[in-house]
Amino acid sequence: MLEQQLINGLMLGGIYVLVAVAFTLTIGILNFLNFSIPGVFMLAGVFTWVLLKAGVHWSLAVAGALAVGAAASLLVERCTYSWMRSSDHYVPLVSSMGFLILFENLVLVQWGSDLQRVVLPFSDLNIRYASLVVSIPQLLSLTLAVCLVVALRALLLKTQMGRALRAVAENATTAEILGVGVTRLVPAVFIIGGLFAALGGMLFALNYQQVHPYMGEEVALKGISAMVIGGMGNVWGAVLGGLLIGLTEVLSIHFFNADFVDFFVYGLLLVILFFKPTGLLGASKIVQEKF
Amino acid sequence: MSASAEALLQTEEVEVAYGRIEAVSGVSLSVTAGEIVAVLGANGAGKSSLLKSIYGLVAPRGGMVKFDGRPLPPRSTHTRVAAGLALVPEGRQILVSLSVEENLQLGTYSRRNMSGAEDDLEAIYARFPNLKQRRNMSASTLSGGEQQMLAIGRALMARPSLLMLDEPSLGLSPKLVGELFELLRQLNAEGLSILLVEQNVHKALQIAYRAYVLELGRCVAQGTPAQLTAEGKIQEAYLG
Ligand SMILES: Nc1ncnc2c1ncn2[C@@H]1O[C@H](COP(=O)(O)OP(=O)(O)O)[C@@H](O)[C@H]1O
Ligand SMILES: [Mg+2]
Repeated sequence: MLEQQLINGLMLGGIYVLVAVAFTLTIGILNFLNFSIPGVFMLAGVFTWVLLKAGVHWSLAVAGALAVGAAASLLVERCTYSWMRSSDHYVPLVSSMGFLILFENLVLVQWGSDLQRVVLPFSDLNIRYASLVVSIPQLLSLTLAVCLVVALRALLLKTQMGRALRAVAENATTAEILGVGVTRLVPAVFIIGGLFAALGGMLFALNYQQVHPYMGEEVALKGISAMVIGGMGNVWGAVLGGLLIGLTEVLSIHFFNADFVDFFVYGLLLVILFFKPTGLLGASKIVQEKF
Repeated sequence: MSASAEALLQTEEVEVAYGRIEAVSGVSLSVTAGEIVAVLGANGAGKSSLLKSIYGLVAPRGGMVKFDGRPLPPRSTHTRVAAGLALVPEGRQILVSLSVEENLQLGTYSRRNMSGAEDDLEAIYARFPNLKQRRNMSASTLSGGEQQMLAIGRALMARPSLLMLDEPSLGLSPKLVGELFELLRQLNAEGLSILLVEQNVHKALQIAYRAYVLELGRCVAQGTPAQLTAEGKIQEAYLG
């Protein structure tokens, strides 16, 4: 059933979109590859499981998981990016990677390395149409991903905060000269990025109903690839790349088998980079195209 | 001239150093409300560093900066913009990823009260019709003269009481330089105080009420344009 696979691919892509947007935000605005994003993704997934298991109402579990993700991301900002100005560029990069390992090990110590099953508080979550099946959490993740990207773009293009963020992206000193409190704006970037990653992790837990301490890493590799395929720092590029990778992944399982997923996904990445090194929607010279 | 009570801006023995390079070595200057004050000096004299330390872009190694009678914190620009200081930086620093209008709108960032921002925008457009024509285009499409207008307009959007400009005439044609200085004179007549860093000594002394001459980070002369020219201090500072 090819149609069904296409649906599944787009739904999976929705999660990659969220992760890719999280990466592309800190790259595009702060020129910083934030390696803690997979950790934030995983924390939100694991906390969704923990809270649901504790019998918390699903709406509170969702809110709790997002809050944990945002808080973790803010912690990373406090401990890494704020040092960035006074040190070499690899220091925040490496320390954000340190946070990924820290988050993974905290979860490992607390809940072990086993794959945990997420038991959903609802019974049947599927919409059936003819012979097609669409799961509601999957539909939700795709819809949310697209709506959030539209909202993020509106924030960046239409609001004073968005103008300030774009100013920081172009030249932080000039932004400062205009009175933009850059040190107050940077935490906002991390919180927004953290929320995107956390939403991805939470939806992953609900969609695939399993969590474990390293769940972030594989998804993050796909998310980074999605960002690169679409063009680094470009929000629409993250969407395009995420959906492309989701489709490639599902279709390579459909036509071949699961062993071929990485071959085709990263093959796609290499082919696109070969023909268009800046990614599909990647930076033309005018920075304006970024968002 | 130093400790006058009504000074709008006052620096006391400001020192700026980059590692072991000392750029400013104890400069005290003041701007009284309503004045145009020029800071003159050859390349590398420390003029930009002085402005940056006043504006909070670099932390001074020593000394104090007071604005409106209150000491300013060492490394924070947004508090200064909110307090009524604005800087037109060297090289204009137009944001090319933003449109002309967005550059101007960003100028209001630190204003708490946004009422009147629309009127201010219209006032800027009335003053610079070229900017209005290109309001929705990328600021990268502006000519050098228009970029300077945008840089000044953007600074004015913060409603400053003191405008600081770092070599605004650099790279402009003589005609545009004339227009620029006429604009500064006009803004001053409307009540704006101005601290002007310039290499164009002749033009700067035409509009300045007072001037300071910097040489290797020190203030070597100060006074009215008439005093400075009579004493021959200007030529000395520039010719070494
Ligand atoms: N960021 C910096 N790092 C190191 N040295 C600097 C820096 N900025 C300026 N300087 C040095 O400080 C001195 C004064 O420079 P500057 O303030 O730019 O002078 P001016 O604006 O009068 O030309 C010069 O010797 C310059 O080389
Ligand atoms: Mg200079």
